[in-house]
Amino acid sequence: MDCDLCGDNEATNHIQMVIDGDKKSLHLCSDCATKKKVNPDMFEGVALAELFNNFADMTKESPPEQREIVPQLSCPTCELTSTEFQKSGLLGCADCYEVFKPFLLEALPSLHKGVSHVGKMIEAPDDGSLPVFAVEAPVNRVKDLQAALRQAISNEHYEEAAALRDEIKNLTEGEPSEDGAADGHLL
Amino acid sequence: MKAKNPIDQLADQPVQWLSDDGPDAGITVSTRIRLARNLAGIPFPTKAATRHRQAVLQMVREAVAGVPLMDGCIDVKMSSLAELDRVFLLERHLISREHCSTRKTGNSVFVARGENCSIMVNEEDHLRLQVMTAGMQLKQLWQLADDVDSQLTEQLQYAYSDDLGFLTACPTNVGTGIRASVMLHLPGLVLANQIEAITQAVHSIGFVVRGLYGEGSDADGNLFQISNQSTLGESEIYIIEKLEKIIRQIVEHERNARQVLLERKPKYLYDHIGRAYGILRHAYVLESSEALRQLSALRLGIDLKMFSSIDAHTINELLVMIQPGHLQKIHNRTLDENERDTARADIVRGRLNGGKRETTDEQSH
Repeated sequence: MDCDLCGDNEATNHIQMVIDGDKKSLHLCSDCATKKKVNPDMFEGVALAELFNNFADMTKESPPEQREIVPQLSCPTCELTSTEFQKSGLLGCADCYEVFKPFLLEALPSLHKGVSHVGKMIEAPDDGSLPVFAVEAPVNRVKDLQAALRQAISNEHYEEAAALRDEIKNLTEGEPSEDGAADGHLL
Repeated sequence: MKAKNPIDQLADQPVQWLSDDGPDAGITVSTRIRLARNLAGIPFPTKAATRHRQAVLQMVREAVAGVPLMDGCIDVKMSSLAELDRVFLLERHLISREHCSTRKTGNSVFVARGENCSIMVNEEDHLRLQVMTAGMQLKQLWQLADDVDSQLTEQLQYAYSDDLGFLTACPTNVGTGIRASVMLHLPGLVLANQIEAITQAVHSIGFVVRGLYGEGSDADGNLFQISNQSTLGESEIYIIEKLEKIIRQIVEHERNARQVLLERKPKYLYDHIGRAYGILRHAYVLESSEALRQLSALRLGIDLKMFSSIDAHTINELLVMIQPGHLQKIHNRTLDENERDTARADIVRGRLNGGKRETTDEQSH
């Protein structure tokens, strides 16, 4: 078995320890054990626990090329996450351009001939939103409505509850297929 | 009482953007320009709630009413159309493949009477404005797209930033949101095995070569679409002029390839075309890919003046009519694959036998 730290030498020190209820093993070569001042006969001291914790962190660490992706960004307006964005390649709203700027700064130069707009110009919207749609994340809105619904039911305001239920349904239902037409397989 | 299906109005008219009167009509088939636009303050369609999609449709509908080109346009929700009609619109290049396969609330399309303009609503972006014409007429078409776009902005507030231009759902479209595309018929380059080299050359300068139906489709019938990829850092005019130069070069290469084939292997070329004509004129069963292949050869024969009484317009019309959605629309019912193959052969035979008896005129070469 190779040493868990240097990976080069044969591990001769086998240590087991229970940290936060998890049983963990550490296998070290004599060089690393000496460097880390590990004496397998001496199961004491903070140093060893630190070594385990550091080791656990070390194994969790992602390779450098993936580390930039790890910070999970999420758009406060439409709730698009960086994972969703990476999966679909699509942004959820205009504000995503600001939220996912780190990704875009990296991606845009490879997608396009430049990084700033030089074509047709129009006046940019004042604050990026129209009053009617003053940014309202659908999921948050549903949560608010659900809370209001519970409140209405507990207060026995059933008419209000029915209206809230309908609004939640309208927001959450999986895009009704309005299709009434006959389908045939064509292609 | 069900109102008359608006798609039937289109089925009754020939496709004007395929009419054979554009410049370089033999090789350049058609030109299209599409602009991707989103409305400010509303999540893009992928993240939009039903009420957002409905609101977008309503706002676009009101704005479209102010566009003269869209006077009396067809206004249909995808959810109200049978699959047959959706496929019909796809085959006429009025909607995308993605739009064809969806029936979500608010997914809609506006189609100008002359079919030279269509506006998809709630596709990948809130608006996908598209204008089309025969032959290669990029500058005129950009002018038209720009005009319609500006007329829409009188009522609509687009998602736009000074740095990044028009904000689109996919960062590949951000900036101008433009995709300019020219469809070319390139049998000469295919026969001369030069198409791969051309495709690579086009790719290397940042443009894309696609098949008849866009992304991922085969180049059936030797029809290729060349379009820009970059939308940021270059103006619309710059992109269009660059595309125009590329197309002119490809057209030149195609002409040369045809000339070389005529000089070096005339019999081979005439045989290729003559066989195609024989099959199309006499077949009773025609699969789609074979029909496209043979029509391509026949079209080449027409360009080479081998046929006196068939014109490229007939071929263009047939290219549209032999597609599954159109065949079924003509027969007004669902046809299985075998039925479609015979229906396809019937239409082609009918069209080619319709005029005076065709004669090949090899002496002219």
